[in-house]
Amino acid sequence: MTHISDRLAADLRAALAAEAASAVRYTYFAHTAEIEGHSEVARLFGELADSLVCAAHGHLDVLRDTDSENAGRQDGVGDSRLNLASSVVAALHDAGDLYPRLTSAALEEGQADTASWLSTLTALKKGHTARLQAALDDLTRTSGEQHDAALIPGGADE
Amino acid sequence: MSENLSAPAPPAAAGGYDAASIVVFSGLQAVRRNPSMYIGSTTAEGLHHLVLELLDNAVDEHKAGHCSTVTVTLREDGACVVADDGRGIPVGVHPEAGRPACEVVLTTLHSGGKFTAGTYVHSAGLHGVGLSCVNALAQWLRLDVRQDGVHHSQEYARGEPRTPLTAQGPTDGRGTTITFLPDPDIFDTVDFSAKVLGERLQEIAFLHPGLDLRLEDERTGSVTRYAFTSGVRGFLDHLNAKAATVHPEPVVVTLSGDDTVSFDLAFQWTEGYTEEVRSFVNGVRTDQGGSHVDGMRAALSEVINRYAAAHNLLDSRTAERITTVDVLEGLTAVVSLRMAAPRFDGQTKKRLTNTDAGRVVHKAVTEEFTRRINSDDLLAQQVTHRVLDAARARLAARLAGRTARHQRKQLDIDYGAYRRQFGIRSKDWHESCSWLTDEELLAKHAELCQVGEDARMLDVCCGSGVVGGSFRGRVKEMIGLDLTPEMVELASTRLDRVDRGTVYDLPYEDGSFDLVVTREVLHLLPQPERPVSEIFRVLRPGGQFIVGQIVPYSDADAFWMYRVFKKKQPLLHQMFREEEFRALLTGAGFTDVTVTEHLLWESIDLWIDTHETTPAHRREIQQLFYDAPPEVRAVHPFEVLPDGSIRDQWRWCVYSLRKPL
Repeated sequence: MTHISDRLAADLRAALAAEAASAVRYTYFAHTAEIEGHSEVARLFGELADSLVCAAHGHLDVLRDTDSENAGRQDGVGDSRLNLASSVVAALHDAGDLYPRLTSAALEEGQADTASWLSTLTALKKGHTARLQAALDDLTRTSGEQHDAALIPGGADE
Repeated sequence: MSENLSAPAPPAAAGGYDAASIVVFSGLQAVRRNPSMYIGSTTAEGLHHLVLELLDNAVDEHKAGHCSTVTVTLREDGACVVADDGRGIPVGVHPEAGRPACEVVLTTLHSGGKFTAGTYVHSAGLHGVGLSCVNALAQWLRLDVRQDGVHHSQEYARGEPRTPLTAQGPTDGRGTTITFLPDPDIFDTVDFSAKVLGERLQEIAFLHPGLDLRLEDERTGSVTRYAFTSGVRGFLDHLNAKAATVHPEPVVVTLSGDDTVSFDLAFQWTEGYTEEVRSFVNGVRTDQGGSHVDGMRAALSEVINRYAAAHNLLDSRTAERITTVDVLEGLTAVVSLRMAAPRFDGQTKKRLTNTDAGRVVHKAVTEEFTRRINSDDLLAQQVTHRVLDAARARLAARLAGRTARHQRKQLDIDYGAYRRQFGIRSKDWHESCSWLTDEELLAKHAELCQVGEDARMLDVCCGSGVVGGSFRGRVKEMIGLDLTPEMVELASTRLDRVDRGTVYDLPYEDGSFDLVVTREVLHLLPQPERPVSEIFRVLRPGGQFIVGQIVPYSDADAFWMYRVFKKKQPLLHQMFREEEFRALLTGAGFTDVTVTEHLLWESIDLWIDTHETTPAHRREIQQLFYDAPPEVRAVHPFEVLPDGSIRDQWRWCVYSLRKPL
């Protein structure tokens, strides 16, 4: 176990989000370069994206292994049970709050197509919530341990 | 976790740990355990790849100057025979292995004649993996070598020799014949397609003037011969045989004489929308292009940009520019590159990665195309205008989605965007996809009809009027409505009367119709509630509404379908999920909902061959299918055929509803 300050943990969380976003942007840029016929640029973006995924996983290693204010638990990174539970919370938030809110905002601005796009994601995330929850239930049942049950969210709609 | 470092080594397992317990997988077992690594997949594509491997070997013999005919036979028992009249694989004893050389080639990965410089200059075969892979993945394989007046043969089962190499007697012939039955334990399908193999043989024949190829399909009794002398130019003419071309003569670029890289290229623009670029390296198809194709595309766009700028054809106020993507629209090209030591992404050689080859192609194409365009003013004008059209259409497509929006809650639609979109498309409307005229789908709509024979029907956004027309005989009067004059004219041949107008403001009195029909329209309209309530208004109480719509299979593929459909059609405003579409209809007051489902295969390549889909979007759509997430694949059936084309199964829901009495 390493000990890092809350401040450093927060900065690491921000760096993790940035690296993850860059990795996705790079794979997207690689597709664009591919279509434009710039194979070398596509390869560059593809290779860098692989490294960024590796780097982001490294940040997750640090957050998982640190004992700072229970940072790992706070980030929902740990064993599969914790990972599933934190993912249920995140997917439920996306399905129940984030995307419905964005859909309304898009409609409010008269962007019917964007609203439709966002509502397909509400549907997707509902499906993900259910699958993650089912996997968590299975794992909990098979391991026969109930002491972490408090992690299972009752809802995150605020 | 330093404590683990000092932990004692685990005790030896019971039974000991010695040389005998080490399992050595021979190369061929590795192929059987993980075939996709060697031949790309175990689908139909991988199956045909086996034959292509054998063909590549025969073609290499031809290129080395020793083979003039190749015959592929598809036998009734499911076996495939590839026979050439080359030198025959050596049958002498291999000095290191102590076994016949041909047996070594058939049973060892990375063996063969292509590792010794001097045997083959530009070889196609897969670094010696080819023949042994075919052997490993065959239920049985028979090798026949006719060499120096003697016929030798040997049989194998799943890669292992079943008989020793045996002399069968004297022969006048020469060459190698491989007969094999693909292993059904390995492949999803073991049914060879004469079409796929015929296309490949034709390509080989075009690329290798002087080589005579035959395809004998004993299952159907058909025999086809492929032998051409016209090279890439002939190949291009063949590809463009049915196309309307922008300029009559293709441009041909040839670079020869250089030992390291040489190539033949022919290209021509057509009035079509999709690009057709066939690229080859040492006779092997590079489906995903690579540096040679990139070099060609970059050169074409640079030369055209330079010409357009020099002749003031670009709009300088908007900094107009032709991109490498724009030159793709309607471009047909065949490029055949020959080089020593080509490098590819992955084992199946889909993409060339040698940047030096790209530079050579780029330079040669730039020089020759510049020369041609400067000496042929008509060609220059025709090509530049074609490509500028594509560039402007790309911008227009991006704008179409924007201009059709309504602002805030106020509906402010630019009907011009719809008129342009569907006016242009009316020219080849029925060829633009399969579903438009699919009889079964039309019947699904007509079968739901429950109004009397004296009924008055309205076909809303009628297009060519096929939906309304399918109700002929079931209703008395058939009226159509469409926005574009071109469609009104088309539909007039099928319906009794066609009016021009918009679905947001139907030009009819309340309760004018007994039946309203429409299909695959509402997703293109912002605020679809308004047209639905207009339809409700013009129906008489008790009247019927029949509407068909493509919907996702589940929540898991909706987001993916949204991306596919939005790239195809920028005017898309919603990807309705089934329950959303139903709610839209019942929300307007309709009742008595019944739904019929109809699954229909659509050719995606045909569907995206349209002006509203830009070349970049077409690529992106294909990529969305190739890279579809497993969650999508689990619910949404589609297939990618060996030639890369895509068939998608769409879920049509046809609804019947009533306006309450």
